[in-house]
Amino acid sequence: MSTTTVPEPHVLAVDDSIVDRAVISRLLRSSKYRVTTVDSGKRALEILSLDRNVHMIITDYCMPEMTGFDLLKRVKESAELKEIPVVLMSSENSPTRIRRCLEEGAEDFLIKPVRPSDVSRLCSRVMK
Amino acid sequence: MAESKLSPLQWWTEELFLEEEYRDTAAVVSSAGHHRRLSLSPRVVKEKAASMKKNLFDQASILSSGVSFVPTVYAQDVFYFPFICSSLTKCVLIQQGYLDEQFCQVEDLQDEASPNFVEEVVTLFFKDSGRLMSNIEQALEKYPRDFNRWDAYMQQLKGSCSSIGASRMKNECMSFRDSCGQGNVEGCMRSFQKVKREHAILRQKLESYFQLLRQAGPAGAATRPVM
Repeated sequence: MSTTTVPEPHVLAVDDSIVDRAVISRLLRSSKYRVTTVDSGKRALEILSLDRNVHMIITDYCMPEMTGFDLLKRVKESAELKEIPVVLMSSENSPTRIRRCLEEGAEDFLIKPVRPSDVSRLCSRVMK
Repeated sequence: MAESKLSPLQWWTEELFLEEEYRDTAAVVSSAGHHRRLSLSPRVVKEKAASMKKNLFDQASILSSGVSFVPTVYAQDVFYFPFICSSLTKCVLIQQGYLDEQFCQVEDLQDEASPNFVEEVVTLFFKDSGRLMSNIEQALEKYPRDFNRWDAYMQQLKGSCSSIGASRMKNECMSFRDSCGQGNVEGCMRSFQKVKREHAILRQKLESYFQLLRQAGPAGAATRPVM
């Protein structure tokens, strides 16, 4: 009888802060996710064009050049990528910003610093 | 073997101070005239350290009220001094506001696969924050009254502080941003000096903390109690 090994879900984490990338990466890995981290929206799109096996994108909102909101829009406008859940993170608790992201199709909006409980809640809900 | 009481350690609330003869645990054991070969399994070390830590955290609650206390320690517990010191150091750093609960959350992410995670992240933080502060310093000089630019840089620094639980430094970053919002150049300059000062103090305190953790060895990996 053959057994099939279920691969770990793959999360793409996008943040221009090296500290935040380290923390979010560790948070996700401790929840048994495979994680790829990049430092910009542009780089995220490059990864997505090469690897379609991404189960969730978690991105900082405030980034230079391409914000997390811009990245969200690009993903949701793409026929190939639009089904990938996108989660935004920000240290600013701005209701306007949160509403705007959710209306654009974000799955969730986390306030930094992100906690293990945020990741657990998020992953069990979004990754179903 | 009968237990032998060592001379007491004296603790101050402002900073942990060890009378010099106790800083080197090996020296204490030999000076007390007791040689006890410690061949404990890692599990036993961890359990023992956890119970010691619990007892000292009970005593450490006295620290927060500003009353110094004098714990007495026994010869066989000398082995745990570095661990005790590191635990209390963190306790004091949190009580004094240098760190907040986020630091503990980051520590909790450590496991066998990433045993030095928090030190790695803190190292990243000081490297990155040095760069960000340098950017801010240049911006203050090259772009006078460009509050939007100043604020954008400081927002990045504040975010990093928040991520590792650098509470006092984060608060000074927020003061700077408030001054930007008010168009207050002098306020920005004053706040930035405070940010730099808090950065330097925190670096020094965390370096001491990690040095103690390294000395603590396996005992330093014990689960922290709920505070």
